[in-house]
Amino acid sequence: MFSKDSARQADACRFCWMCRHICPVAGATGSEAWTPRARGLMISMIERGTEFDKDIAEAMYHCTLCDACANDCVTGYKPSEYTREARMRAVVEDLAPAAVIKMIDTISECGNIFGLSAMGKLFEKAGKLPEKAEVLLFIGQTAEAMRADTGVHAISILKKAGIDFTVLADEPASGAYLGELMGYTGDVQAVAAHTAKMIADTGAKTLVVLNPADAAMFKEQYGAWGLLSGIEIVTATAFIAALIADGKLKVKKAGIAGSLQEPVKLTRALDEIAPFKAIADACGIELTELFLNGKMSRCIGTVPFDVYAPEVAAQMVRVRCEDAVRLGSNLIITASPDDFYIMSKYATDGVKIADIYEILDGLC
Amino acid sequence: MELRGFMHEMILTELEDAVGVENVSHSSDQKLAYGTDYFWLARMTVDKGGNPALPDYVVRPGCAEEVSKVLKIANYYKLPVQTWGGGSGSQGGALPMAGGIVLDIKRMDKLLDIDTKAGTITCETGMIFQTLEWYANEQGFSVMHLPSCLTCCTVGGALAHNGIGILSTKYGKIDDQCLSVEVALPNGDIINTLPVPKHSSGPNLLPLFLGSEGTLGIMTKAKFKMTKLPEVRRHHAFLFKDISTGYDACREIVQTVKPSIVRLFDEAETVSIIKKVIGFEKRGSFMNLTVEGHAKIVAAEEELILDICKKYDAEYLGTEYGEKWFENRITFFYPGYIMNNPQMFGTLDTVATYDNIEKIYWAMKKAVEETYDGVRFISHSSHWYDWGCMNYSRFIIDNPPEDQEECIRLHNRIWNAGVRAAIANGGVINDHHGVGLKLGRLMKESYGPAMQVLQGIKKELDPNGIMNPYKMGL
Repeated sequence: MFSKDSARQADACRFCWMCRHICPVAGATGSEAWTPRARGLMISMIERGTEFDKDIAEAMYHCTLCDACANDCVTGYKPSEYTREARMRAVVEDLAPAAVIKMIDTISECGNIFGLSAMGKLFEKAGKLPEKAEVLLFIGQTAEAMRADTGVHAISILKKAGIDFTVLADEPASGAYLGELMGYTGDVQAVAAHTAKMIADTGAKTLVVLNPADAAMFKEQYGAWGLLSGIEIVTATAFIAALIADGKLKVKKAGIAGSLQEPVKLTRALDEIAPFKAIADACGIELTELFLNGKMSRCIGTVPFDVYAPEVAAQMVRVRCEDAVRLGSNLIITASPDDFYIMSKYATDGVKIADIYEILDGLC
Repeated sequence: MELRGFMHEMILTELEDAVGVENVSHSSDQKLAYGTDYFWLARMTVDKGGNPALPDYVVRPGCAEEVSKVLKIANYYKLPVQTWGGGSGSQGGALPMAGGIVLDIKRMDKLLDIDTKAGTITCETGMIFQTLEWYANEQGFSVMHLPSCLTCCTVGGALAHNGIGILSTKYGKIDDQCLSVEVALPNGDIINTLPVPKHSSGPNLLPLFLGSEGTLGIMTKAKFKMTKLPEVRRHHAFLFKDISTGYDACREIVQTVKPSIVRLFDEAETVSIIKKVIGFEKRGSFMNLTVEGHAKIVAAEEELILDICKKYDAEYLGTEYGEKWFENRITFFYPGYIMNNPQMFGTLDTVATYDNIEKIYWAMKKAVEETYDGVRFISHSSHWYDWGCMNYSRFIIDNPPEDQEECIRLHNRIWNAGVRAAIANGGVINDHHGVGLKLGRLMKESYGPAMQVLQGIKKELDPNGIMNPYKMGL
């Protein structure tokens, strides 16, 4: 049985096709089964006696939970809610794809999605930082493990702005990836509680979050669980844009042109659009505006999604690159270590992926 | 034909060889996704926990040549082929009622050409129509085809049922907007209609395929005309004392000027859906209208429209409600605004000359209301031509029978009554949703002996009858 709310939403979506145009997975693959409508239909049919099997579970994982559909829905339905619940059921009933189970096991064993035994390299690279400070920069797993430069440049920018901050020596996971894989279960809540305690123990009053996926997790789900109360949570983009606006960072002009890969967790989950553009503007980047921008920005996959559906993530990046090239731009600028990591792997020939933190650090 | 032994796997591997292993599926999730389209009977079936008709194979070609290969395989094994675009059709036209292959064309979504000098845009037919419109918009143009299913239908789906958008009164229907198509014939041959504006080189093949609903071939590429985005687009609304007066006024308007939108609602729809979505609360016959293009021409058109409406004693409601309607033009179709199961509902759209259209409205209303106690009938006219217009009437039953079989009987009885009332008074089976599975049985009544022309073409092009069986009465 699905929860009453999920069943209600699935029943509403099962005969509605209106968000098809905006779904990045359906758009990149053309697969009918990988649409919010089809997932709603399948869940409504399961509620009416159809067997929940491994094939249906697989369809539940062909979604990035990016909420483009929810943003587009006039009525206000949110297919990611029933999709996430279906994943929880798939894990509990041993129907989830093998790659998903393997990732969950890896996170359980190593504490991170990449299976690395030692994290904290960025802490070492950061140079001397105080043990305690009013501002804590939360780096996130992808920057730690796969895209260290984003973290290095973010740390450098904060130093240049004269911010009294620190980072955790043994930074734990926020639980965002685990929640994406298995829904917001008790296991995920336990991870969150542990992480929240480590953050609180630093005595930080402001938590600056580099990875938008972590920021969304902290702001949305931690809040729902009563965690991190009393600590201000700010995205790194918003924090740095404010430093520029306050004159704490003097930025030279880059004289480059490109389009922004707006992180969907910023634009849709956190309703934050202006800061990334403000940073790009301060850097003197001439922007090529895409049709799908702001709240409609196109998701190019998530780190867990890229592990279990790499061919789909690759196709989503190709579609995004086509958007840029069609409009005469061959530079795509990211503000998320996840986006940089995924796009760099699959960008089409002639398209360059750049990191806004790296650009900014070089200009101030 | 029953497949025995490992024949299923033999065909599966042949299809995989044609389009790639990853583009053929028979998994439960893939098949379930194609078992239900927007057709009320398909929806009712799954709503009541029944079993939808599912395909044996889901095949997703990436180009016309792959479509051709699949059709050759299907012809050899005499496998039904049902082409699926967006699946948002209301007539059951894409449903795999005969099993076999569902051919999903959405991987064929490439933009092939934009010619801003000629004002044309060419694409593969699996492209979502909204995407095509975005591409045109990027260049300062529009295809001017904005149906309520813009965001979910494919280009191919719109062509296959000969669809229409809300701006049709000025910019035409899709058969006015589409300039040429490439078609994969049932035997796998790929042909093109002549890529010129007009010709005297024999009958035009293009209209043969537009509206053929996948029964004569599969359209794989299409060229459309584009129009520059209008300098101004202005909205107005009026209230007539009744729909009869509204019909007279609107006819005079469209025979005098060229508005892009003219939507005249009967009293029942004015006090229900219009009230709900845009908050207009008066009784009467609501009409919203849009004029667009060059500012000077629009200003002259507005003056003439106001004069005509005054002549028919219409109350001018200003620009607010027309703007609200335009802003909410798709809102009407979202859950919570559109009718939904378990309600029974259907859209009986038809088209006729001005002499007949109001007769059809009253005859259809009477026929439907006499069929079942508790049926509601609402109506509007939203696509207008020089010599006639269409009527978009809906029936709604809030509490239909519980029994599935009884539901099907009642549903078809209402449709028979409504469509026969239209035909008897000079109308046709349908204006812009197509025939599909829903209305195929009524094609012979509508066409009479002319049906043999369609049957002859079908027999010649598709001798094995594999293309979308049970649809369009063919």
